[in-house]
Amino acid sequence: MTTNVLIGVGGTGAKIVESALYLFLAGLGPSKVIVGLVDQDSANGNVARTKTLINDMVQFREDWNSGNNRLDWSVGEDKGGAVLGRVEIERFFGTECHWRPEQDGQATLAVVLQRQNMPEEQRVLFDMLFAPGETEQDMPLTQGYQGRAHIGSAAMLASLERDIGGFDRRTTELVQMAKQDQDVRIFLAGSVFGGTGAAGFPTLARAINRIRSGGNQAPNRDHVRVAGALMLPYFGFQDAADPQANVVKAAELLPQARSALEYYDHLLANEPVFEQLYMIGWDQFFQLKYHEPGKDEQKNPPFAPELIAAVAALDFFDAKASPGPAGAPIMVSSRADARTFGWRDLPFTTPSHRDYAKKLVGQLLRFALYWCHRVEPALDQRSMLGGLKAPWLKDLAAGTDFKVETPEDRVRLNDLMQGVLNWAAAMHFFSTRSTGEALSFDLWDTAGLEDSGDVNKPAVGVGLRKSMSSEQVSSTFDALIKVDGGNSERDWRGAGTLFDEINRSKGKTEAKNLGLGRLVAAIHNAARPTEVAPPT
Amino acid sequence: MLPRIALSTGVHICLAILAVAVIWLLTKGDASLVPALRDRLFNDPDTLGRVRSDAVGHMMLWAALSLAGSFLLSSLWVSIAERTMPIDDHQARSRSGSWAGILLLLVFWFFVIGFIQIWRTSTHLDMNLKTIVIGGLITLTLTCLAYYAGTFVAVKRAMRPSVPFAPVV
Repeated sequence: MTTNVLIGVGGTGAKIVESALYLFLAGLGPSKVIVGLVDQDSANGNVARTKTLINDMVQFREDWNSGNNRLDWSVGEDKGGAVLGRVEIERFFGTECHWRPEQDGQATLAVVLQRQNMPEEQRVLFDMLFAPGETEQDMPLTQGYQGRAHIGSAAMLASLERDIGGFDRRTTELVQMAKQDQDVRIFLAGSVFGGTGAAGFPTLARAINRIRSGGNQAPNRDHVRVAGALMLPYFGFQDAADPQANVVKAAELLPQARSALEYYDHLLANEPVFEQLYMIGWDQFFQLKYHEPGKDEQKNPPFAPELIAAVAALDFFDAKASPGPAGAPIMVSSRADARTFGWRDLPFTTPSHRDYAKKLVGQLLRFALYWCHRVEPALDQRSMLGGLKAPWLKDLAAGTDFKVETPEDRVRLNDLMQGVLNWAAAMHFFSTRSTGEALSFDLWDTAGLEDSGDVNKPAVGVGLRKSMSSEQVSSTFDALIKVDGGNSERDWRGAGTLFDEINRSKGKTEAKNLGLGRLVAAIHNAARPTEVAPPT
Repeated sequence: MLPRIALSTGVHICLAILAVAVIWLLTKGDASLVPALRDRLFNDPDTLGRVRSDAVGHMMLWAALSLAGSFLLSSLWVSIAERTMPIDDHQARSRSGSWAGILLLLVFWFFVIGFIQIWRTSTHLDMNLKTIVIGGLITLTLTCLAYYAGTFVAVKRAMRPSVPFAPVV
């Protein structure tokens, strides 16, 4: 079995991991992925949101893997096996997924590199490379590296050298798992611009390359593959109100990216760090009309390019994909039309991979909508005798113990599904409104779900309707997944078909779903937008 | 859908047999005829028997046609429901208005058949009013019951909440 590791570096890396996690939740990807986040700014809103999602997904597997309510992931979906949450998520450090290169809350570069203990010649060199005072040497690292990748690289390298937080040790452990018949695939996600991502992406890639190439251990290079998704500048933000503020400015992004690309060109020519490198860009910037240097206020909405990067991770983790030989041609994928972004623009290996992804993502979104707005409220509707009122629930939830475990499982599942809807709605809302020229977002349409949203307040996100009428659910459900290339509208299953199917179904399948798991599996299965078999 | 319609047919046949049996029991003796007719044909039992037989025949036809109407209208409702795709119980329940509308149509049909079979044929002049009323009420009850049971057993499960009290049943 292949060990797959996904590491998001910085805020953008965290958002790519977030998109990848939702694809995993939908059932796409390998059977297990170890997920980690790297950011100096532990309070960063993007990182915090993804960290919560990782923990929720780990909890989801715990909730539904044992106990009274179970989902059976061991058999195929054609036999009633669960697809939802099929991919097991493990935190990078076991109980923790986040690596903070410098643990000290008051850390500065001068402190991290112990300037006061440096010999005279090293101190002169240090002073020459980094501006003195709060501009660079004494800049607090609590809010990340503020777009100064050279500070981040130096600080991160120092932490790796001293193995602060155990990243180096854990990576070595993972690399050691590579054997003759067992590959280790490590995928890094980050941005070429900004601070943490720009600093951490090449630094970590080189560190992993060093570890797999030997170090003190036996070389495992042949069985450890490293890939990365590198985001070119795709979003902009307002400059800080104080022009003297020691933070990165929007105008610095492109020159920074250019320098970084020159660096990568040099790096890749001299040091074969990556087997596969995916670079993703966008022609028009998504404009974030605010400036937050870091901490929890920096909570950017998800954007379409991050989904493309997440698809790149899927491509790399696909066991059948093999890295091209050295000097292999560069593969280019682009949108068919600059004004739209649809399923056909997602760079899947084959059309059948794309159709299957569309089916599973569609199934997840439709399940989330139907579960939150129809199934969850119906579970509380009881007859005079205290039994479930809805006839279909009586069959599908038969044998569920509603007093033990189930209340907690229900709350957590509902929260996770609300998160799915929030993510999809935010991507839809901000992707269509944040570029200068309106983008037609043709993956899904969550307009029927959206209650409030302000493009000038991206950190607030999109408010979703608390309750929806049958007609609202019906129209939103049927229009949720957009049809383009591959499937015809004729084959599309509506909410009525779902309800008809769950009324016919008794939840009896070959799969060993148990308790409320039978209901979850049945609703999820009935929420499939179309009939598409997994790609062979 | 066909097995469910077959089930509905079975329900209607059973209730039709019950209706005919009840009417046969109600009209078994000459007491079901009006006293004036009985007195007038006291010495002519053949004619009295023929008149009673005609009246009973009209009563039974009334019941049979009412139940046939119930079968047709319940099948109509089931076929409408078959094409309806509710997304939840609430939306399915909201279709109970058309179920009730067809039930009213069935009641109207019952009275039209009653008018044709009893009044237009002057059966009401020969048969005891009490027998007609009791027989009619029983037929009406069985017809409504047949419509209810027929729609209940034949409607697809997703649309069952549209049949009143069906989820409770």
